[in-house]
Amino acid sequence: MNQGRAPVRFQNVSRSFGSVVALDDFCLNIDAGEFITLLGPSGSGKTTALNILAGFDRATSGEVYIGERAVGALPPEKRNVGMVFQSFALFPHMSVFENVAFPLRMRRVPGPEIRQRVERTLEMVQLAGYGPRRPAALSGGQRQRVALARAVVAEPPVLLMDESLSALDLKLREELQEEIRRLHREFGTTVVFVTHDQGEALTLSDRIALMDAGTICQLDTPGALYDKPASRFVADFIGRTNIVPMDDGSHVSAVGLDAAPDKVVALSLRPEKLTRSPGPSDVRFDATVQDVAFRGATTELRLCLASGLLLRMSEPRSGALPLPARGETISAGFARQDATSLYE
Amino acid sequence: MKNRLLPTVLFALGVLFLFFPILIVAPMSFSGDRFLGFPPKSWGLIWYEAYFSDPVWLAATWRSLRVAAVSALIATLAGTAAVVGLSRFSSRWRAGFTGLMLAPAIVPNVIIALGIFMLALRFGSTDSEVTLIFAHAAVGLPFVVMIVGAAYRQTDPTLEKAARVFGAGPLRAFWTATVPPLVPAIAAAFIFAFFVSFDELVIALFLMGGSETLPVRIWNDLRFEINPTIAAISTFFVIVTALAMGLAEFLRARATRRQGNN
Repeated sequence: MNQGRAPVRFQNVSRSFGSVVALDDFCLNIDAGEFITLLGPSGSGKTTALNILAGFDRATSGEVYIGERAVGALPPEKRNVGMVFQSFALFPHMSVFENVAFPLRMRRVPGPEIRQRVERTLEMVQLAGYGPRRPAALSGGQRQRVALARAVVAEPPVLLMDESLSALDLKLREELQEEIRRLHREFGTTVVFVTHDQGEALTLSDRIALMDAGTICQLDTPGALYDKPASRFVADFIGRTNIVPMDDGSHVSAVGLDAAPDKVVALSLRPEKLTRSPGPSDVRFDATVQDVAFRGATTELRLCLASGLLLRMSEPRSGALPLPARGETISAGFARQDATSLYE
Repeated sequence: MKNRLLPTVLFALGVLFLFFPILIVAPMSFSGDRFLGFPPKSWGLIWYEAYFSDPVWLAATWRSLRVAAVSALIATLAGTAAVVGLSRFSSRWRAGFTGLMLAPAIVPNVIIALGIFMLALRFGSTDSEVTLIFAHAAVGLPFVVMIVGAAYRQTDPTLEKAARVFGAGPLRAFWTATVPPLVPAIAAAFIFAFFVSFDELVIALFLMGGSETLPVRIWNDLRFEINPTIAAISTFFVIVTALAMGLAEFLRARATRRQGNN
């Protein structure tokens, strides 16, 4: 089913609303069949980029390509994309079957084929037999499955997802994340996913474009983004981390490191990279335990260093060492390569 | 229990007050007497017979139904188009135009009647059903704008976007995604606008000298003699109106519920 997947290219796309620049010379090449996530806080421009790709909005300057075709001037109905909306956007007056059939009817697919394709797609999202029901009779998770089915039924070369899971609760969200990954594997469509949820982005994406203030801060695989953040903003936005600022060097020496090269402005230390066990860590420091918090699979310690810096440390609960008491001074450490240098 | 007594009594009194005219008129319509009086001394259906066999009454009734139907149709189309169209305007313009369209519900009918009458005199179009239809459409418009507007604000604007993305052109998207969820509200609005026109006396009095609508006929009849035909007509139309308004309210409530569930 891998026919008809297309690369997507944003070429120097800018969009301003009055004096507000929502998208600033935005460039992004998305490979055919790639699952890419535009991740960022609200106002970062991710939704503007998606709206321009879908045809709901027009770029002030620049061009968007789907495959080899420049689509900037085309209305949404001529772009042949599928889309899943945050609000589901199912047609309330149509049955589940008619909702899913809608893109095929608009493409004038003959009736018997519509029936066959709709039923097969409903099966794929585990809603076989739900065809005659109204959307109002379904749960939130089921509605979003219908919306997914409607988005993929016509096998569009590009699938857009706008905060598609944000309206659902955590359990359903995780369930649907798996479903989306499976659908992506089966259809092989290019997916452009927009979210502000970094966990979701890490789970789903081949690559993530982390956005802020209308531009991409870093474009990388989830692993690279997590392990090698390029800036304080990225380190802070992806996962949880400790930022050790350079300042006068007191914080850096408090964690047991020598002063870093000039251009480094801070270090990022992931809480789970810190350990109390004396073994493999080659950088060690002393710290006072301020708080011990139970987190299920992990225990989180809040440490205060000699320089006054606060560090979060997360250790698995199966750890061999007994938990320290509050106020106790402990020795902790980390591997040198786990301290990531941040240049801005 | 005690603190629920007072509200119940007040509610009962309120309902009684509202229904009092009907409670008097309905029995009188079944009177067998020559003159209007309460309570009737004898019973019969003679006044219903009188109504249904009098060509003047029937002509007035048909005229009223015709005017109400056409003016409600105009008000519904214009009002719905206005609601949808104005949603694309900036909020400042929208507020201004909406206020303008709600004005006929606030301005006293006698003022509207006078204005339209003077305008009609100028164009020589007094005593014309067409003029009355447009006047009534204007008076019905606010109800359409309020009822359809409320339903429209509850619909999800992404529905139309979804229709577009999945291959529908702007018009197709409007008809397949935007309009269907509004149909119950549009139907309810039509019924309201219909009865706004059907009940309306003042404007019709100004405009319709020779050809009377039903309220004008009733008015003129009451000025010269008081007979129970009017009670029969009133009762008949109270029943028809109640049924239609019940239907309109049912449609409106169902529309709201359906939106809410989604």
